[in-house]
Amino acid sequence: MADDGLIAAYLRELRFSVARLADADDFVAEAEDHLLEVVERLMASGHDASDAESEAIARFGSAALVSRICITQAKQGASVPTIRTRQAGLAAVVAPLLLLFGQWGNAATDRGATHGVAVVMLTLSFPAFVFGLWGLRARHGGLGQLGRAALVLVVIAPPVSLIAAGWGAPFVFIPMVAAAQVAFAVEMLRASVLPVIPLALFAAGGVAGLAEIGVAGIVTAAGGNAGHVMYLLSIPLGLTAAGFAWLGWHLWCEPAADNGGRLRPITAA
Amino acid sequence: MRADALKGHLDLLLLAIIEDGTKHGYAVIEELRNRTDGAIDLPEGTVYPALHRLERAGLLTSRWDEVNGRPRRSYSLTAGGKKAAREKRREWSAFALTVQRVVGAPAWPTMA
Repeated sequence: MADDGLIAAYLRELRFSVARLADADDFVAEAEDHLLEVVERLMASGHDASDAESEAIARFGSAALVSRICITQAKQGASVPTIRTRQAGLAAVVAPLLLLFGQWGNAATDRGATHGVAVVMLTLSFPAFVFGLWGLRARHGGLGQLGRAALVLVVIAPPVSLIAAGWGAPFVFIPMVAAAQVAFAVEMLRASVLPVIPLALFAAGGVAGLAEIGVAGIVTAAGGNAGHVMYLLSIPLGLTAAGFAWLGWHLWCEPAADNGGRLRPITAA
Repeated sequence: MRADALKGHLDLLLLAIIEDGTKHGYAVIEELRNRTDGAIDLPEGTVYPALHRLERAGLLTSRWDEVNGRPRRSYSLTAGGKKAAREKRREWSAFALTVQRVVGAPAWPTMA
C-alpha cells in the first residue's frame, strides 16, 4: 500500500469504516488497486499526481458512502432462489400444518397410534420451522449478524427454556422465538426481497407474542392467573403461521438458479 | 440517470458485463460507463459491494492475481450466474415490453 498521500489517507479511513465486515482486508486491497489504476490512467492523460489522486477518490466515492453501501449489501442476497431455499420454503408451508394438526391430535386423543402420530407431528414442526427460517436467511444472502443471531436464538430456545424454566418453559421459549422472529422480519423488510404483506404478518406474530408474554407477566405479578391470557396465544400463532406459510409458498414457487444443489464455478476464459 | 432508477437492475447490468469474460472491478465499471455513454456513472466504489454480494450468492467467482506489483481481483460468472443472467434478462424484457405497451399508447383524447 502507498505510505503517504491522499490515497493512503483515504484507504486508512475506508479500512476504519468497513472494519466490521468479514472481508474488510480484501475490500481495501481491491479499492487500493482500483484507485491506483485510476491515478495511473489520469497521469498518463496529463494530470499531475495530486490532481489525479483527488479525482480518483472523488470518483470512487466517500468512505462513508462506500462503507454504508458495503454494510447494506452485506445484509442482502442476490435475490437468487436455489433448490435448498425451495425445500426450505416447503418446510415453512408445512410447519404450521404440523403444529396445528399435531396439537389437535395431541389434545383430542389419549394414547394410541393417533396420539403418537400427533406427537411426532408436533415434534417435527419445530425443525421444519427452523429449516424454513434458514431458507429465508439463505434467500437473503445471510441477513447480516442480526439474522445469524436470530437463527441461533431460535435453535437454542428449546433447551434453554427447558433448563431455565422447567414447566414454565413456554414463558421463556415464546419470547425468545418471538424476539428472533421480529429481528428476522425487520431485516427481511429492510432487504426488500420478499413481499411486504407476509413479512408484516410474520413480524406482527412476533410482536403479538412478545406483548402477550408481557401481559401474562403483569397479570402474574398482580396475583392473577396468566393462563387466561395464554388462551390468546392463538393470535400470535395465527399471524406467524399465516406469514410464515405465505413466505414459504413464495420461496417454493421460485425456480431454482442452481443445478443439482451446488453452484459450480466455471474456469475463467 | 438517477441511482434509484437502477435499483433492482444493477445485478443484471453487472452479470451482463461480466458474461463477456473475466473482468476486474475497474474494467466492469468502465464497461458500464462506456456501454451507456456515461448515462450510468455510479460512485465507483459502490459497485464492489454488489460484486461481492453476487459472489456470496454463488453467481460470480473471483480470483486474485498480481498485476503491476499489486494484488488484483477478477470476476467471472459461474454456471448459476449464467443462468441467473438469462433469467434476469428475460424478466427485464418482459417488464420493458409491458411498460412500453402502456407508455407507448396514444394519449387519451381531450375535447377540443
